[in-house]
Amino acid sequence: MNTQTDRMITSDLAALATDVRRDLPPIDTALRDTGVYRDGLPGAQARRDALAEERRLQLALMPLAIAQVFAHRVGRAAAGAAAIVCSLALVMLLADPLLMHLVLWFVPGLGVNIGICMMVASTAILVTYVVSTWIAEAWFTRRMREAVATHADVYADLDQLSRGPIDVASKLVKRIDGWSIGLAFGGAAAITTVFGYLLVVTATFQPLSHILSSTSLFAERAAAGNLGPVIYALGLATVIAVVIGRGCDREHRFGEPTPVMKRLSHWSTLAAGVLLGMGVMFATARMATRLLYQLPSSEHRYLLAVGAEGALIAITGWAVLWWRRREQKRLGD
Amino acid sequence: MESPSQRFQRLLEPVHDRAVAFARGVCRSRSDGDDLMQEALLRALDKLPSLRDDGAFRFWLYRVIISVHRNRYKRSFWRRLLPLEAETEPASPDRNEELGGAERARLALAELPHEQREAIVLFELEGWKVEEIADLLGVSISAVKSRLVRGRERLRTIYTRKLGAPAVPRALLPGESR
Repeated sequence: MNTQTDRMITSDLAALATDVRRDLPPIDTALRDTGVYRDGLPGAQARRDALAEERRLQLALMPLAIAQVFAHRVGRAAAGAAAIVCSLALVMLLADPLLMHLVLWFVPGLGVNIGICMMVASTAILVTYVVSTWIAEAWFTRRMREAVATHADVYADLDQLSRGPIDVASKLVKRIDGWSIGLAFGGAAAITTVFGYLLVVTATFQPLSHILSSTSLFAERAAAGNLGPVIYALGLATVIAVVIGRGCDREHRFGEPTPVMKRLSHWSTLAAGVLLGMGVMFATARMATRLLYQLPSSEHRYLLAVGAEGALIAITGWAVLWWRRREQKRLGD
Repeated sequence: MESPSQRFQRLLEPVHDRAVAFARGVCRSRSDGDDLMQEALLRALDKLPSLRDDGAFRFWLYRVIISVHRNRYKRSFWRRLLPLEAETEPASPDRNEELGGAERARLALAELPHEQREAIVLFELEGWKVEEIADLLGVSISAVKSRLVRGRERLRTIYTRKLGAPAVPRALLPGESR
């Protein structure tokens, strides 16, 4: 009986083995029911297309202020860099007579005076600003177009489109912020320092009416002999520019302005800068009128340089940070 | 680059039919087996990123099926407590002749504890080796052998007591002619 039962069991299990293999559902049906195709290429393409459409709409409705602020920040950074280059070039011209001869050789008949230098520097800065703003606008437009563009790789598109154009634009604007503020500050401080120094030196030896047109500035070597305080002042301005630029970046990263930035953007800094600047101007004017053809002591000169640079840093720093706050309001940050 | 869905499809294709047969084998009915397979596929697709070695997909999928089946087995307590629909009628000796061999085996297997049922289905229906079954279920070879022997004994008892094995017409037995 056991044998009979065993044979029956074996037979039934074999029948069951055949039965379970009958009418097997096709794998496609099983996968479709599983929803696996939702992640397949057609599904991914559909999701990509829908997302791309949404991102294009976002781009179309994106505030123009973002693009404008980005372009202006790039322009300001480039103009600041141009101002720094002009300042350094002027310092080198003052320091090295050979360079001055080369310049005169290239531009014969042109008498180099402060007016010409100011005109060349301001033109260079302005042209740099305008051209870099154009380039930045074009680049920004291309970048935004790329942010919503689709390619052959659907999954790469999905990854790319997961960040909308506004996110991309905001990131770009924030990334350029530190450079823009740092270079703008550095450029303004450097160019003002160098031209302020040249004006003071020229005013010491020339009547006020001839300051801008006097060509004796480079010939008399008076400016070249006192470059020490200017170079220190430029170094100090560079350090402060780096501190401000890094401060902007840290603010974006941690959401809180650094103590230096807080101090520099406070209205009392502007007031202190203006008072200090007026004091330094008065002391310089007094020195220039009383000590004609006689150089003041080294301590006196360095003290004036420190005071002037301090006032310049306070006023310029406050101004660039005020401008930045204004932009941030436009961006809604 | 291959997406998870493409990878799943590629790995499933060679083992799909046998996995469906296994799921049907351990369940009370074909439709239950198909449901089990669908549920297992959903879970497998979800857990696929955790599978690093594509070569181990077959074992891994069977383990998922077994895991889902055991969960369903646990849930069936509540189903027994609050039945939503009439369960399959137990076979009586009188019905024996009406039942096909496959149906009879299914009813008998449904009476086995799930460990024994899984071992018997894998061994008898799927044709796996004892070592492979031990590897799949994570038990020793002797444990698998024990489950097979006990399962077979229990099947014998079920056939004798519930399905009236002696009353089976000789014509249905293999090797016998009408």
